[in-house]
Amino acid sequence: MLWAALHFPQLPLERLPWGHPDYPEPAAIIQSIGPKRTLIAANKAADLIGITPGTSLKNAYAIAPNLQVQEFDEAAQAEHLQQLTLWAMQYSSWVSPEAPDIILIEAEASLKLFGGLRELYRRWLTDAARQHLTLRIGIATTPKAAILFAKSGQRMPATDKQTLNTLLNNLPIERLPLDDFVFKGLRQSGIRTVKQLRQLKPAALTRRFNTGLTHYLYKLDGTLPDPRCAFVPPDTFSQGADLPLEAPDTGALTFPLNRLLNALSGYLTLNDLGVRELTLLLSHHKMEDTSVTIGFLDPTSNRAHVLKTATERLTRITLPSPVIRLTLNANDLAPIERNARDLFKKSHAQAHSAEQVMDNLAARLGRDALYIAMPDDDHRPEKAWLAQVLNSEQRAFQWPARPLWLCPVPQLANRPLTVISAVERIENGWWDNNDVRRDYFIACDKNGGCYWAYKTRQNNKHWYIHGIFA
Amino acid sequence: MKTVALESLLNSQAGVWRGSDRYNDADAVPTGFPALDAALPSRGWANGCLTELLVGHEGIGEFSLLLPAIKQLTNKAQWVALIKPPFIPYAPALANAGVRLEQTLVVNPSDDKAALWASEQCLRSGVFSAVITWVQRSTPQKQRRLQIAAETGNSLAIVYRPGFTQGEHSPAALRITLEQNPTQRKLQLNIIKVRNGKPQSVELGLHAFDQPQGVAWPGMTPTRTTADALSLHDLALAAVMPAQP
Repeated sequence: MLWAALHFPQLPLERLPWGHPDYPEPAAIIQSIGPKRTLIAANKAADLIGITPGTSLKNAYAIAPNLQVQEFDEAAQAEHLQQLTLWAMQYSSWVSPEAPDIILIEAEASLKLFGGLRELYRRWLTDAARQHLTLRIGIATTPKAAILFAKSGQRMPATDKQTLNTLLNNLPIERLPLDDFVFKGLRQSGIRTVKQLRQLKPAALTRRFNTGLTHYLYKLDGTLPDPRCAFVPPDTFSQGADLPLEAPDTGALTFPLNRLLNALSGYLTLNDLGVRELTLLLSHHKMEDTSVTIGFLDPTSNRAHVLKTATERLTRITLPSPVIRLTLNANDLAPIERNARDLFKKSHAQAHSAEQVMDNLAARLGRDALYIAMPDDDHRPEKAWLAQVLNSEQRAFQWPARPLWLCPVPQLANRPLTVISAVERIENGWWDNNDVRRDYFIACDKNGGCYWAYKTRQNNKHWYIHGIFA
Repeated sequence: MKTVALESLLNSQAGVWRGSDRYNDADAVPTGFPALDAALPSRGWANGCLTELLVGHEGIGEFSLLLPAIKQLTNKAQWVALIKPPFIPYAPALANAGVRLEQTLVVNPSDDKAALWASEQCLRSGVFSAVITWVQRSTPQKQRRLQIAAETGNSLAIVYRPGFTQGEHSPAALRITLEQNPTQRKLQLNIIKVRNGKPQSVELGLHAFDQPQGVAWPGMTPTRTTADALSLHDLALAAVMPAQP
C-alpha cells in the first residue's frame, strides 16, 4: 500500500477571501483555549511582518493594530474537509479524511490509471492551486508516516520500506506529534533524532512512556497495522458553504461555488454520473432562500461547463438581500456516457459540445429563447409551424409558395400593395374556435418588398400582412 | 500593359509574398448563385470571416440569398443558428427550400446586446457552421469581436444590419448592401467592401430564387393594387387567373 497524505495547513484561512496570497491586509484565524487566544493561521501579509501561527493575539495586535481576525469555526472546517474528501475521491476509491486538515489517499491502486506518482502529484497540486489552497503532500507506505512527512515538509516519497526507514531516521524528534511530557523525558535522556529513539528497547520505552509511543513508532514503520476506514460517499449530493462575509451580489458567490463544484466533480467522477439538474440555494438572513435551478440537456460532469453555466445564470439574478450561505443540491443525476476514444468518428464529440453551447445560451437567455421551428400539418398559416424542443425529427411536407418570415401577429397594411399572384383560399379550423377564412395573395409595395397579405372573407375592406418574402 | 508587366514580374519572383494570396485558399461555402460566387474572391461565403449584409428594405429576397448555403450546411448535418430574426422563421417555407430544420437553431434574445453575446458564443464554439444574426445597433468594437470569434471557430458569421449603417466603419471582411430595383424586379448586391477583392455590383434576377425556394418565386407582373376596392367578383376573377410566371 502506498499512502498519500494531503495536508492543507492554511485551510481555516483559505476558506476566506483573506487567504488569497495577494490580499494586502494582514489577517489571521484565532482559537481560544481557555482565556488565552492564539493565532492558528496567518495570511501572507501577516507573515511578512512577523505574525506567524502560534503568536498570541495580544502580541499580534501589538505588531499590527489593523490585523483582521476571525474565530476558528470547527463545523465549517469539517464541512470543507468533507468537500475536499469528495473531490479527492476521483483519484482513489480509498480515501479517508483525518480531521482537522488532512486527507489520506491510498494511491497504489491509482498509479497505473493516472500514469505514475509524478502525474498524480502534479494533478493534486494543480487542483489545489485552482482552489487557492496551500497543499503539502507526504507519501509513504504507512498512513502515519505519510502524515508525518506532509506535516514536516519531507517531500521525497517513501515508496518502499528501506527508504521509509532512512527518511524516518533522519527526522528530529520534535517533528513527531508527541505531548510535552514525552518530549521532556526524551530530551533529558539525550535523544535528539528518531533514529536514536528507534534504537531504544521497546520494553524500556513502554515502561517509561506507556504504550502510546511504542505503538506510534510501530505504526510509523509498518510493524503494527494501522487500518483506516474508507470514506463512504453519501447517496445524494448536497453540500453547502457558509460565506465568511455576507455577499451583497452574486459575483461574490463564485469563490464558494467553485469549491462546491470541485466536490461535485469528484463525486460525479467517482460514481460515473453526470448532473442533469442542480439547484443552488442562496440563504439570506431572516428571509426565505432564493432557489436557482439549472438544467442541462445532457448529463454532464464537466466542471468548467457547469461553472460557466451556473455563473452565467447567477449574474442574471438580483438578490433581495445579502447571501450568507450557498448550498448546492444535485437533484437529477444520470449515468454519463463516457466519450469512447474513437479514432475516426468525430461527429460524436461535436454533437456533445453543441448541447453545451445551447445550455450556455439557455442559461443566460432562458430556455424559451431557443427553439427549432418545425412544420406542422395544419392549413392555417399560423398553426403550420411549431416551436419545438431540440432533437425532434422533421416530417416531410410540401407547401405552395410560403414567405420565409411570418409575422407573430398579422399586421394591418398601411400602404398600397400591388397583388402579383393568384388567390389562395385558406378555410380551416371552424372546429376549434380558431376559425380561419382568408384569401391570401402575394403583394408588393412600391419599393419592391414582397408580402404575403390576406383579406378575411368576413370583412374584405382591410388587408393584413401575414408574412414577408425575405 | 504596365500592370500586366508588373503582375508577371511579381509572379516570377519566388521570394515575393503578396498579401492578396492570403485569403484565397480560405475555404468557403458556395452561395448558390454563380454570379455572386464569381464576384467574391473566396468564391463563396468565406469561413472564419464576418460578412455584413445591409438591407434597405424588407421583403426583397434578403434572406433567400442565404438559403442555398443553409440548405447545403444543414444537409451535411451541420448546425446553423439564426439569432434574433426580425420575424418568425416560417418552417413551411424553410422546409420547401430543403433546409433540414432539426439542424437549425433559432435563438430569440431580448435585445441586441444579448444577440451579439449569443452570436459570439455560437461562433467561438465552432459547433455552428453558420451563425446568422440580425442586429439594429452595433459598434465597430462589437463587430470586431464577432470577426475574432468567427476566426476562432472558423465558421460563417453573417450579420444583417439596417441599410443606413452603410456609412459606419466596420471591420467586416465583406460588406454587401442589398436593394431592389422595383421596375426591373432584380435584387442588386453592391459589394462595398471586400477583403482582397474589388468592390462591384452584382444583379440577381428574382427568378434566381425559384430553385433555392423550392417553389416558383411570386409572379413578376403586377395585376392590381390593393388600393382598388376589390369586389367579390374581382376575388373570384383573381382565383381563376393563373399566376404569372
